[in-house]
Parts: sequence; C-alpha cells; structure tokens
Amino acid sequence: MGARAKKRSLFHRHLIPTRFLSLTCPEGLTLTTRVASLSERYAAFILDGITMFGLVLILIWGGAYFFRLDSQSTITFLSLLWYLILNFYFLYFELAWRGRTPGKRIMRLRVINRQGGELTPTMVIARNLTRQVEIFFPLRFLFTSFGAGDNFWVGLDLLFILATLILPLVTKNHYRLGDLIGGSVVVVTPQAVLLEDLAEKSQNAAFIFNSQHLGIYGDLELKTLEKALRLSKGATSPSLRKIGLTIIQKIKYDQPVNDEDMIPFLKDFYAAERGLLERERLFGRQKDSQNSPTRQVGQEPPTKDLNQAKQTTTGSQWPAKRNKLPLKKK
Amino acid sequence: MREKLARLEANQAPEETTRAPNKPGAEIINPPHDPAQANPKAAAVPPTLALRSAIFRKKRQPSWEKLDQLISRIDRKGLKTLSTQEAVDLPILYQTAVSSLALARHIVLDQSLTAYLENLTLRAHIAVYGPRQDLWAILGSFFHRDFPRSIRTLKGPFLVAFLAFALGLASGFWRVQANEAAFHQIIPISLADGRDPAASVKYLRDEVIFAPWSGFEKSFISFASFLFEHNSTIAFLCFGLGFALGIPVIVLLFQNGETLGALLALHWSKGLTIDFIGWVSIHGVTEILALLVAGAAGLGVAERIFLPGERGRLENLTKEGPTAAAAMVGAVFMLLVAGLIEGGFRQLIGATFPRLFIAGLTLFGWIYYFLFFGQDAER
Repeated sequence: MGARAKKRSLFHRHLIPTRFLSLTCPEGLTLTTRVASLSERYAAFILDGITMFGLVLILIWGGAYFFRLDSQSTITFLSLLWYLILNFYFLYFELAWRGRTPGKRIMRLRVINRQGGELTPTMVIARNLTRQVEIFFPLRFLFTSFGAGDNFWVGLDLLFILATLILPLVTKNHYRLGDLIGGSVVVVTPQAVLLEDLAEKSQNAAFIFNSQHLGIYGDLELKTLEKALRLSKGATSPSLRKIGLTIIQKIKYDQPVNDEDMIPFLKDFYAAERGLLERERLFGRQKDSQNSPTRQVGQEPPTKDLNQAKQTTTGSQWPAKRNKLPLKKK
Repeated sequence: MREKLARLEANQAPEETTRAPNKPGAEIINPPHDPAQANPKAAAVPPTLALRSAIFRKKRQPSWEKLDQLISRIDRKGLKTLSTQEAVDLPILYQTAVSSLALARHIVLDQSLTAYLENLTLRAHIAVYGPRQDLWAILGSFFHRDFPRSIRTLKGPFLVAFLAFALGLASGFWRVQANEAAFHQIIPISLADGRDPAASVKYLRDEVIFAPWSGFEKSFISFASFLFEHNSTIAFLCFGLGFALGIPVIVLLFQNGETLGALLALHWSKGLTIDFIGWVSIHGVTEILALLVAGAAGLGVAERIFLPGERGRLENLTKEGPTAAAAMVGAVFMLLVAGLIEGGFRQLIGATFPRLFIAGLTLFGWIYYFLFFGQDAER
C-alpha cells in the first residue's frame, strides 16, 4: 500500500486530476459538473487548429480562383485572412455557439461562467483575447526571432510560453490565463441516457426476502450491486457469482440458489433492498453502508464537495467514476 | 415535525413501539429499521409492490424526455429553432427537472436515475441560463454600451497611459531638438524609410506627406492590412504585458511617444510642422487613442493584480478582466479604422487643411462616443 498508493494519488492530483465544480442555480439547487481535463482541452484546441487551417486553405483557393489575384496579392490576402481567423475564430464560435467551438463541440466541452450565472459576451471576449497574448504572439515571436540574435528576448519569450503552459496544471480547475481574467471555466457536458430501472424487471419476484435479510446492507452496497448488475448486462460473470455468494452468506439466506438463478436472485434482492432502504429514508432513517449504524437523515450530511470526497474515498468509487456515465452515442 | 413522523411511523409499524428505547446494543443486533422484530417471517417484504421511486420515475419520465429533446435541439441548432410553445415550455420543463432532482436526491436510490437527472438538469441549466443574445445583438450592445462604458471605467489607467505617451512625445522632441544624432537612437534606420535629419525638404514633402495615391489594391488591401496587423500587435502587447505589472506597458507607450516626438522635431527643423501634423493626425488621432485604450486596458489589469483591494487577486481579475478585454476589442476595431484611413484615404486627400479637419472630426467623434454612449444603461 503505502508508498505506491501515495505516488499514484500525487500523480492523479497534479497531472490528471478529476475536478468537479459546484454551481448553485437560482432555484437553490447545487449542480455538479466535471471540469474538463487538460488532455480534453488540448485535443479540442488541436481540432480547432486543424479547422482553422482548413478554413484558410478553402478561402485562399476560393479567393485566388474567383478574384484572379496575382501571387503578391495572394500573400497579402493570406496574411490578412490568417490574422483575422486567428483572432476571431474562437471569439465568433464561442459567442455564436454559446460557449463552444467546433473542437470543443466534438470533445463535448463547454465554456461556462464559473459562478453559475450567464456567460456574458465580455467574458468570452476576455478569455479569447488573452489567448492571443498567451499563445499566438509568443509563438510568432519565437518563430520570427529565433536565431536572429537577441537571445535575451527569445529566452524571456520561451519562459513566458512555459509559464502559460504550466498555469493550467497548477490552478485549481485548469484555468488558463484567459479563464482567470474572464471568470470562465471549461466543463464537460456529456449527454447521459436514462437506463432502465433494474427494480422494474423483477415484478414477479421468485425470491422472497424478509426484513432481517434486508436489514444488513446499506446504501453503498446497494449502489455497488446496481453497478455490478448493470455492468454484467445479463450474463453471469464469475465476479457476479462471487457477489451473489457473498450476499447469500452474509444475509444467511436459507433457500438454495442455483448458479443459473444468480442474476434473478440478485435482481430480486436489489429490488427488495432498494424498496426497504427507500422506504426507510422517507421515515428519516438512513444507513450508509453495512458497517455504519443507521442514522437520522440530515444528521451528518454526506460530503457535498466531490473534490474532497474523492481524496478521502476508501469504499465508494462513485465520485471518481462519475464521468463513466452511460453516454449517448453520437 | 419529528413527532408527526414518529406518529406516522407508529401507525405504519405498531410492533416497533415494543422495542426498548435508546438501547445502543440492540440497534446493532436488531437494525432499528426492522419493523418486524417480533416476528420476522410474518413481515416478509412483498417484492411485487411497486417501488415509490419507480412510480416517481414513471410519472415524470415523459417530461424529462421532452426536456432532453429540447436541449439537444438547442445544442445542435440554437435557440431559434424552438417554436413559441416550446419556448414557453422550456423553463417549465426545466423547473420540473430541478424539482425532480431535488426529490430524487432524497428518495431515490437508483444511481443511474439520479445521475441522469443531474446531467439533464445541468444541461437544461446551461440552456436556460446560457447566453441569450444572438451575434448581431451582441455586437450591437458591445458598440453601443460595453465598449464606451469600459473606457469610462478605465479612466485612471487611461490618464496614466496618456501621461506616459505625452512624456515620451516631449522627451523625443527635446532629444532630437538638442542633438540630431539622437534621431536614429529613437527610430531605427529600417523603420525611418529615408526620413532622417539628412533628408531634403522636397523629399519629405513630395514623397512622404503628399505622396501620390498608390491605387486601390495596394493602399486598401496591402498597406492597410499591414498597418492593422502591426498596430494591433502592439495593442495586444500593451494588453498582455499588463500581466507583468504594467511597467512594460508604460515603457512601450513612452517609446511610441518618443517616435512621434522625434518625427515632429525632424519636420519642425525643416519647417513642415503643420503639414506633418495634418499627415499624422488624420489617422493618428484614432490610432493613438486606440493605443492609449489598449494601454489603459493593460494598466487596468496590472492595477487589479498589483492592488487587489479587499477581494482576492483572482476574484478581482474576474470582476474587472472582462472590462479591460472589452476595451481591448474596441481598440482593435479602432485600429482597423485607423489602418483604413492611413493606408487608403490619407493619400487621397492631398491637402493639409482637409486632413486637419477630418482629424478634428474624428477626435471629437471618439471623445463624444467615449463619454456619452451607453450612459442610460449605467443608471
């Protein structure tokens, strides 16, 4: 355990951390969303770069063909076009597409106001103007001045590029300089699908459970069972069989359960257990897991901050795996 | 409330009243939510009973699905594709989803259902509270309101930028006045384009100030776009260097002032002062104002970092950053105008007094625009 676990958590926290952001909507509810990871954002940026390049090529061909420009004018036209596209591509799309660009759309990313209100045009302008200063100018300076002497300025420029690249690694929600100024954050908004209700399937339950059977487990085990059942997709896997046997042993279930009946058994157990736990909740009693005693609902509210929940998590994998939502295929 | 619940419970499960109250040991051996402690076999939970959460889901699922479809369409094609009825329905459906989620968090133990609702509500929230204007409305309100307002907000930094530029102008003028060799310290030979103390009056007057118009394509496309790129790069630099606490911004403004001052001194010594002012000011008013606005934006950012005040630096930046950025975009637009005047129109107008007249007009126009536009929105 020790060293290795620590090493991995360090790695996860600093290089590919999964961050969640809480927004309070005007209705008073706290909504949680996953902050886009750096790799997703770089991928979107590269996709946008390719799109911009393609756009310039098409316009140049079109321009040269229709207006019969000579080569000198084409070069001027190209340079102006590239300049305009570089400056206004992101601005245009994030304004017109409500916080998305083609690349972000493919990666299902979206720019939102990190305080939860409206994403105003000036915020979009701020985050995209800064993009010029952050990336495009330093890079252009590097290409034009590299090897032309003046090592001091090239070094300073390199340092600046390095700093802007490192900034999203060290800031809390992968803020770019532009996000810091604009008050925005890039989040992932996947489209989840509603899966069928597992309890719905076992209307004619063959396995009957009494309240002593059901009184042992709590919310955590129920959720884990749900996950296992959904992952198995109706086939009896060795791990599912192991889960079933463990449950039978733990609740001291007295009727025999065949191997081929394992999934119906687990589904019935899931439906019965969920029925009991949900009814108990209505009466204000909540049991978090098999190891914790029943408590009053609202006595010690479960931690809302998923970022903290992730760091302290031992049993529950749910917060860390939230991005593994059943997603809609494109 | 609690008594009410307790009574309700007692009605539901009368056996429970027989349990010994507050006996910690008993709670672990016999879970307290066991209503059939006395007779476990008799109280077998009939699993055929529909779950409350299942009924909840059945009742509300159609409205979730409708909302889901609406949001997907908004995401794909924008708000405009909604019919009137759908536009009316959207906020209602959204609030249904919000209330469903609030309820589901408390009573539903089906993870996939709550996860779906969380996702649906978040997407609906973004759709409902997202940017509502279309691009033209955004542009309109930007030029009518946001840009002049941002400049009024940045009054202090603007004055500092102006001071730096004016000091540079004076310094450049006096340095070249005192010693003509200083001209090339200020303006490198590559940029001087033959304009130096050795140049003849004739060259300066006929080849530069009153140079013939070079034709539409060369002036409006090549030269104007070169100027625009060059100047807006300087403006972006002004803004970006604001992060380095603003000192480079002041240096940059000072240098630009010195350049102008040196040129002024050069023409002064040749007796071409008025012609030069006409030549420079027709576009220079717009260009220098844009430069000052960009500098003010950079200094505004620097001020927020340097003097965060009561709020933290980050919060401060978030609050004021968009203002500076709005000023910056406006400055880039002004530079586009300046580039068109300098590259295209200037040489079309071949006399000093019309040039001075246009310069005065643009100066008056910009000042009026900065001071008085969009004031109704501030109240």
